[in-house]
Amino acid sequence: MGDRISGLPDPLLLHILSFLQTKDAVSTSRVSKRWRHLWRSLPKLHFDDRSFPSVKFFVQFVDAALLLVRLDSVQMFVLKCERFSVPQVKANVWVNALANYKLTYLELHFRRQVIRLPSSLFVCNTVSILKLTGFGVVNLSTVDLPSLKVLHLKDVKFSNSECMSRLLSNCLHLEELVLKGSLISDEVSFQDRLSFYSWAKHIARFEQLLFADVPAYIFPMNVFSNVQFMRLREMLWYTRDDIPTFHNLIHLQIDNFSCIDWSIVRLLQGFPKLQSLIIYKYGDYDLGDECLMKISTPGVPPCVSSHLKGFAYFGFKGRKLEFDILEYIMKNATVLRTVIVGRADTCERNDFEMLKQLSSYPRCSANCRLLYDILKKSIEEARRNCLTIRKL
Amino acid sequence: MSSSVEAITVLSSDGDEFKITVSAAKLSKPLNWMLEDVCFSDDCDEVPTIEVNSKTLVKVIEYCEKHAPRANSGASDSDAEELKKWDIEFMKMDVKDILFHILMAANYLHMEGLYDLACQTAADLMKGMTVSQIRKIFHIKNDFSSEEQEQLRRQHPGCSFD
Repeated sequence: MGDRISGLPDPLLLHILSFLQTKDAVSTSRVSKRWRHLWRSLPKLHFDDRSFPSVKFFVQFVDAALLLVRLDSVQMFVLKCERFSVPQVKANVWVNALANYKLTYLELHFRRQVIRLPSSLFVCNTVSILKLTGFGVVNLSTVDLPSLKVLHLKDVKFSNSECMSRLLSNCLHLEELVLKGSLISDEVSFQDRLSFYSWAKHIARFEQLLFADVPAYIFPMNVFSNVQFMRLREMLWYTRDDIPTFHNLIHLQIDNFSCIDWSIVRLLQGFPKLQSLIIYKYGDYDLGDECLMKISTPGVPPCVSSHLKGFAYFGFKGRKLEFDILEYIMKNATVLRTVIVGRADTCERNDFEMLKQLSSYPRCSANCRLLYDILKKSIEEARRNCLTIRKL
Repeated sequence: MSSSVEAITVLSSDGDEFKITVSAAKLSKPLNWMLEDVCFSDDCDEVPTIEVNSKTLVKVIEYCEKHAPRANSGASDSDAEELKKWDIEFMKMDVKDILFHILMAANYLHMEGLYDLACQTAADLMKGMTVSQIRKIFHIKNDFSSEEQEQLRRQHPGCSFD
């Protein structure tokens, strides 16, 4: 059998090479003459310091690669510094070298240190996907990211609220926003921290946003009210009050839900098209069983009565309030297909008894399955491990 | 387009006939155009030829039929995960023989999903391999002279970890 791969056209070979880390792609240059200069036209550069024995080798390699590669063919740039502390000046030089060309995808991770960002990063009219981890933003005078559709910020710490506000207010065409970790620099004083919250109030609504994975406490919820998919973190009971109507929301996942009570029903009034709801309850704070007073609601929320297909609740402890809410959902959701209940680790009640009680509830939807997960706490695991309970 | 047509017949480059369902054919732009041609002309007896050999076309159609339901309707995450596993199994094929035909076919038929999958598979075969291992896997002849090789080694000290 002959050498078929070398006969493939350049764009095809380059596409194959772009699935490799740049280190592996570069080493193909020594395979044969056909491959000698191929990697220099790579559309994607991917550097990961975990593939290098020392920071010296890593820095040397990235420097050399950026010198030899045709910068105008690079569309995607991934830089992961998970293991070593890379000199600040190097990181800036690398980013600056590429930001002037036609990058569309930029992903930078710094795990060992907080690097200060070069401002060229935020003036790049081609970049549509920007994912940053482990950055500090001190000064941000101009933001011009007209093509930006996807923005992920993880442990990106702003030194002042104007910077954060300037960045987020200028991403008008954003379709996906992920904010994880702290957004505020550790050096910011308590007094100044408050200004972040007041600035956040002035951020305009993301009109084109489809997907948001954000903490629930920094921004007023109306900036996200156009989304279809949302994951909320750190949702405390007091943040549930001023929630506007999310007319497009289909899928909602709430992590770290502090406590479950009847306010959940009022919350659901704001999501008229919701099809799936996943709640991860966390912590030991629970309202006592005596606080069972049902808050007055104007009837069954529209999403429950006509859209809700899936409901998952993890962190189930077998309290009366939890049973009542599950019963309420099963009784009123007409198109419900799956209910998943995941038991909390700290739950001491007998599984069989809880199961018996859950499965005795009337189900409005004829096709509703009830899955009870005794082992793990994620949807995927639950699907595998769940006991399916048929209607009695 | 008439809705009565559920499958179309195509010829491989070897001249064998294959049936492909309408929903599966939609995964490929050129096949989709062919489909519209077939559906619009009632009295057309001509069976279109696809420049892909029979052995490869069987695999391409298998891929299309598996992925069509998801592509046309959108499916849940658990289906996506199952499909990913299926893809991995599907790609366990003879490297020298069929992978490159699949690559070429996916390129020619504008099938983004299959194209990425095949490229990823080829890349996985190179991952972490030494230069001589790559040559061996893909039957690539080393056409560098020994002087050139020595020179290359000197030029790229940073990359010679193998």
